[in-house]
Amino acid sequence: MPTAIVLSHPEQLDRLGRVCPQALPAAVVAGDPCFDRMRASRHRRREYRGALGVRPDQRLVVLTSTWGSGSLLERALELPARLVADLPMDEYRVVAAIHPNVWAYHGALEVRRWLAEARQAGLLLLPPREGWRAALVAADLVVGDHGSVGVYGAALDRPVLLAAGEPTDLDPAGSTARLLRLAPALEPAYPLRRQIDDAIGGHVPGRYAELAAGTFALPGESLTTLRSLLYGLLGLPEPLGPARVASVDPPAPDGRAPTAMLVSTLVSALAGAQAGAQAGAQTVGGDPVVEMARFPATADRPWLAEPPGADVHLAVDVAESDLGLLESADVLFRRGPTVGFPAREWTASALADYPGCRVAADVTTAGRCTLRLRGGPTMEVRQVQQDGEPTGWEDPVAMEVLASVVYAWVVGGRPLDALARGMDVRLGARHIRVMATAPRW
Amino acid sequence: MISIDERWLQTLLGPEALTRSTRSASHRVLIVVHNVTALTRLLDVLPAFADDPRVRLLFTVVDGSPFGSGAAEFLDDIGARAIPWESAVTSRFDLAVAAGRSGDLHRLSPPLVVLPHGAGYNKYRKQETGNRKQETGNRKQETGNRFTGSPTTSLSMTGG
Repeated sequence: MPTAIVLSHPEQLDRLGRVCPQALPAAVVAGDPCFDRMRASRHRRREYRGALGVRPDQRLVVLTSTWGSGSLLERALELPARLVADLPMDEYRVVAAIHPNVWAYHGALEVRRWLAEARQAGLLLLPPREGWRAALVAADLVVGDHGSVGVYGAALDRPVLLAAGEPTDLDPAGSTARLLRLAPALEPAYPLRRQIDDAIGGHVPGRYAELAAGTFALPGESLTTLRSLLYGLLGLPEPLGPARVASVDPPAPDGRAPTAMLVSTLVSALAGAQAGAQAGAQTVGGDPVVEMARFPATADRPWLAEPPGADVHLAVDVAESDLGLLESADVLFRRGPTVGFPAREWTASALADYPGCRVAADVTTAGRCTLRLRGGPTMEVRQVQQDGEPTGWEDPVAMEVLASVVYAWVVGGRPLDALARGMDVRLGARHIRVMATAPRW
Repeated sequence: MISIDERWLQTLLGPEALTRSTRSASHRVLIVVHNVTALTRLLDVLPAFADDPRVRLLFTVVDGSPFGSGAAEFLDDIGARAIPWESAVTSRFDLAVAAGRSGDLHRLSPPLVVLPHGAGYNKYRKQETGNRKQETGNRKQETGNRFTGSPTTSLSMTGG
């Protein structure tokens, strides 16, 4: 029998008393030091989001699985890949937090193998020890199961969707069983994006306040309480000064940008803006508008939801390992420089190497995209401010977006010189302005 | 599972410690680790000792912990001085702290503080029945009993 059995909430006293009354004298209610650290980390949300590559206008989904039967990885192993494939990559980020017991039992290689397709499509993977707490602080939504991570997310007032969860071995009075009863399910039979947007948009703050209050007593006081307990048992006076609750470190996920993506574009016509009006787009100052959504191109993607009139093309990084995707690419780009091949030479050789490709773009330099059109000129495209001035360091889009803008423009046979006057691009909720230099033949 | 050179163990825990150590603490605390999750929780608690030089922290991994494999590596990575379970059981400590209840914790003689490592207490744990003392030194049988026999249900420390 332990000398002290630490409980996070007095509610557990009743449960302990029912199953093991002789343990009751040892019970000490001391709150939860882990949750206290998360609460003490909330002011670092922006920093954590930055560490996960999440821009202010993007939504962060934390996907979490506990271990064993009924867990998300056991019940819905296909979900991570589906989630990243269904969410426009410029508007959402998905990061996975897998229970350390899964890593310990199966090994990191197996965990990565299970998630290989999802990771290729941009899923971020947190290391097993730490990162999940910062990710919860950073999150807009948690997709989980009966693991404790979902409870911590809910207790931080994040919306939660359940993709799995097995109540059989759970104490019905415990926090995870309560979460299984409270949180809505993510229905795999229905489109995921809509459910995610609804869960975020429809979240009523405080929805899980009762769950939090009934699970974690003494908020902010756990370490102080535990220190008194530990020093009391040691028979030592406590150190001077208060026990300090530290915020958690920023997350360091493993992941990289997808190397192949399906790009849906809808260009509103210059005159009349008929197509744009149909699709709900409006021209700004008479300039054309390109609406764009990018999705990772995964191996077995059966379809791509696209608005009527949209064109879909395939944009691929030359670092892509799948030759089939490279050979099918409409737009090829390089993110890293190649020794001995400046942009003009490299773009020419890429078009020569891949006959199916129409635009080759060098995006090795922040702030500009140097591209070459098949049988056409080279040009340089930049993201600019609304008044045409160069943008500063703040919040640039991925430069390969600019290559896809040009592709969308010329694939409809539109004149190149219009690009030099500038055009507006909508990437989800973001409005950016793009301007090209005069074409060089 | 922590393995350690016997000579080095003597230096750490034996009389030699007096001449080899740089600081001698008056109190020894054993941090008892079941798995990675439990260790992360224990690391949330250790700041309670802050930089108190009166206290010396030593770590061990509970023998036979089903997910203990990553714990020893974790301890090594953070520079925690870890000793084998058998040495932990036979050495003198003033306090032991664990974030889990499985294994032969009853073999530890100092006052033991047990914390949950999940969000409160959630899972039913099938616990072996009978006299725990009998099971001392017979761990295989004890873990086997978790899945057979006529288990009683108890609050478990596993949070998932």
